[in-house]
Amino acid sequence: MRVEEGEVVIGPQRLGPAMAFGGTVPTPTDAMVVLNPDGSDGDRSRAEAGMRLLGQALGVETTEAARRVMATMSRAILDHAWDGVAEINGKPVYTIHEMMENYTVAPSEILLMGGPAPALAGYLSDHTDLGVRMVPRWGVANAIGAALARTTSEVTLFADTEKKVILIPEENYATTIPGNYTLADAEETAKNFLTEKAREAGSRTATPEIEIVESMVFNMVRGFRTTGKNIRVRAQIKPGLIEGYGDGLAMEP
Amino acid sequence: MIKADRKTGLVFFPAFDWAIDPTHPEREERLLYTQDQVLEEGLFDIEGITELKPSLVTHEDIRRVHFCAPDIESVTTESHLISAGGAVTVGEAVMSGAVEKGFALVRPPGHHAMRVVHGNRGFCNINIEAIMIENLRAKHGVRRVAIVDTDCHHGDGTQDIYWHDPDTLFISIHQDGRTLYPGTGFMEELGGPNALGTTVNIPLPPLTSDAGYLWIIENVVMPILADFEPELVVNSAGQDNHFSDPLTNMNFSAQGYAALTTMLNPDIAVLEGGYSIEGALPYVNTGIILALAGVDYSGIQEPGFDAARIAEPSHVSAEVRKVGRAVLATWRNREALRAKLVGNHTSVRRRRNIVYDTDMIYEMQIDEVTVCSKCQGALKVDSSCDTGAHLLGVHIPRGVCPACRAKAEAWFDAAKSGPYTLRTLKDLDTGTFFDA
Repeated sequence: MRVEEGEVVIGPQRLGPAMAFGGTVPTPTDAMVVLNPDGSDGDRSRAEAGMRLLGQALGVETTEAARRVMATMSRAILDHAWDGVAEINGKPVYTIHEMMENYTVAPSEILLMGGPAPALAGYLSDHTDLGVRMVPRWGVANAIGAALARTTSEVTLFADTEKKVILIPEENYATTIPGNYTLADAEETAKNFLTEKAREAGSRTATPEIEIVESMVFNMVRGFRTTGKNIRVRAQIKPGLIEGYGDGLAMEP
Repeated sequence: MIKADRKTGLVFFPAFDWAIDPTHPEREERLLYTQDQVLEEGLFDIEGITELKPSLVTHEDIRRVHFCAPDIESVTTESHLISAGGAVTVGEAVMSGAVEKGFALVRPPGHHAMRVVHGNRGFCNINIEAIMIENLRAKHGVRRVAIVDTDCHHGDGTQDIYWHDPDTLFISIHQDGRTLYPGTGFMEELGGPNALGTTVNIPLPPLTSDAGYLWIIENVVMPILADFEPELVVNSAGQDNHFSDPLTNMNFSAQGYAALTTMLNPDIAVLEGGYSIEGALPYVNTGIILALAGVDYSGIQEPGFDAARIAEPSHVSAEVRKVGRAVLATWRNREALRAKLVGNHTSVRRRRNIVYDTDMIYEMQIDEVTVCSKCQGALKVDSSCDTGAHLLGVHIPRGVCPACRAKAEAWFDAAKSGPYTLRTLKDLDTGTFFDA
């Protein structure tokens, strides 16, 4: 962290660990150690030295410098989160159906997880109208999620009924099909293929929950005659929890 | 990593779930192979080329341009609102400075849609370029705009909308109307009395190839654009001059289209026609995108390209130059021509029959414009058709003078006792719209 034109600037380079943990340059962790010394096993006096340096550049005392760091950090985190939401909502779609369905992400509450969650919650609240709270077991929620996540994968299938062939390019798979192959056949093939792929990838579920995320069929016209169909299907294993950990999983703190 | 010289924004909306009917040229998969090509060539991975999500246009956007009968809902589908919205999205991105160049790869097209809309003609319902331009004029204060329509068919809809507007230069380069739909776009079509000369038609003979087409751009279109000094150049980028197009008889290539784009250097391109969906569109669109972004396109070649086979016969080249020189002479003589043709008329009427080929509607139209030296003139359109609709539309232009405003309001009031199913008033000067 440094001070530029009277403002705290965080990153983008990481110059080593926090001063409280043996580094040479103050970091947001130092600010948290200063503001909540009992919540950390970092070296309080070194963290204070870091914030004092920053405070001198800002023209404020040590604790105020730490508060400004937290405010800057909170704004930066929220800006990135809103950019992420805008990116999801701005993702192009290619059919009128998707366009009119107009699925937009509109967060109604901010949930925090990870080590600094309690230190940050109040400062984040200062910069948003949304409610801010920590998820149960915020310190280890990420690890629990990773451990209980279902093995997912996807396949994309192309069928050309004029050439009588199907392809799953990423699996290097090709085979012949009859000319009357339909979209429903393609979805079935993709599902079977995906079940097998998931099993090989370590899925312990015999019948994983599969969803068809893209399913299109186009006429292929040569001259003024339809000569076949161009079918495209994308199927994925629906992301979620491993079988047996569904709704029944107790997540109370 | 390839980097674009100019930041370029693309709206890609192939409307994979919309068609006029399953074997109509304007059908679901029209842009499928273009999308495959654009993705496979990694165009969106080029630094400086970004994909934008289209917005939908509003009824107000449509009303700035059209008189729709019986109403907007009856003559548009969501697909039209998104297609026009895609054009507006790239227009806004260019005006806001987010990108330097914009290309709306959208369907359905729009350049056959005239001011009055009773249905679909030439695969078009609403004019997506005009809706974009009028939106930018209302919201960004743009005034002088040039539209260069390089679709193989005459852009008769855009011509109709800007017939009376001296601030909009409309240049259409197309296959001669004696040999192709819609059968108009002759050199003598120059615009209404207040805008005579700012409609420019360049009808080219069948078999015109890269050489003749690029000669026209360089020696006719560019000098006219330089004279007009537009703030914004819009290219109605139809791609049906291609030698493989099933509906036309021209011999243009993907390299030719890319070179045209470089030479014309439009701020905004909007896809219009082009129905060689496998043989031409993927390559022509890639060429246009790279040319807009300023990336090398010399490697693009479509299947079946044979320079000798599409070479221009010498009599065609001679005809192209003859047309070009005549167009340029008329342009340079436009002031004198206007004085001579308009004389001391105070208003000018036209009576026309308009066919909606797709929807099989026959429209009879009488329009009247005031001849005015202070503004674009007030316009009245009386339009009846065999659907039973009979509308009276009054158009008040931006910057209208008091006399023309009074005339327009008098027309609208007088029509109260007329046989109309719809009286509609469009006041672009105040941005208000009124139906009765």
